[in-house]
Amino acid sequence: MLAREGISALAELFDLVAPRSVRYAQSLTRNQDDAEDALQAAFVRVALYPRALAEADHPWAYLLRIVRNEALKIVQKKRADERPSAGDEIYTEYLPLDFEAQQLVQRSLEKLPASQSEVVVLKIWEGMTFAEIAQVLGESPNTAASRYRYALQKLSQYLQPLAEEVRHA
Amino acid sequence: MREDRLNDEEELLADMTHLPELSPNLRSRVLAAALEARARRAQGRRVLLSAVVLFCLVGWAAWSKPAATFVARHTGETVPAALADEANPLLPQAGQPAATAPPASTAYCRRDMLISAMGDDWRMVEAEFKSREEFTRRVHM
Repeated sequence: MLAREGISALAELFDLVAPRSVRYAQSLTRNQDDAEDALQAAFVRVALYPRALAEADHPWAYLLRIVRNEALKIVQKKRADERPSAGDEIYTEYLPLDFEAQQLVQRSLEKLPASQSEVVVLKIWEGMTFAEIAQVLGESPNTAASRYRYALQKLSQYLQPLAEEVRHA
Repeated sequence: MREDRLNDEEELLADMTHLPELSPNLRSRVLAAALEARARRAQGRRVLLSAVVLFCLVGWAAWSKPAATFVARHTGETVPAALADEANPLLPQAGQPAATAPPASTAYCRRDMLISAMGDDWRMVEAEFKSREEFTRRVHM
């Protein structure tokens, strides 16, 4: 369809996957602008080689893998002049749910190593199995599972105040 | 106990699912970049194809067009007065083209020359075989 219909098919694909792809790329780049650039580069790649995506066994995993590769390229390029981000403190004060809770979750994910936060995004928000995550990462399912386990252990520390808040509510 | 806590965190994270708000011009930017990349690749292919066709044409012309007449027609150099020898009518005179086109019967192209050379070589080989046979026959007699 991509090869035949060109731009309209790309537009449909964009509408279908853009926000989720950016969310995933953001777990690697830690920056929405870079995540959007990664998405753009991924779409350029898809436009040039549409057949590869069409013939993939798991197109969604394949597309995420392209996004991942582009995001990692951007991260590598920026690593030279990377500065440590502010806000390394752990939030222990009272937090109302919704917006601030989401901010806390976002920041907690950003505190994780990129290799762990991307697994959390794929597992929890994309609902992928470890086998599918392994396809995206190019690693074994066991590696994906252990990264997920480590990530959750760390997240349970970061999100403790929020979890207690939810329990009391 | 610990597993329960991890499950709590999973549930909490799942509840916090959110999609980022994309930049307003991202869609047009991405589609324009994709289109541009496709157009660039198509143009690159056209340029490559043209280069291949041109190379083939030049190769074919060089292979089949008589080289000597081509040079004589296109150099257009004339003999300077100091080098002219009026006493010798066989040499080109002052103001005349230095190289004149050879007569059509001798204007071979590279392909013809190669075929002729191959023919000559083959005739020489045949002659060599014949002389050896003749020599052997005479020795036996």
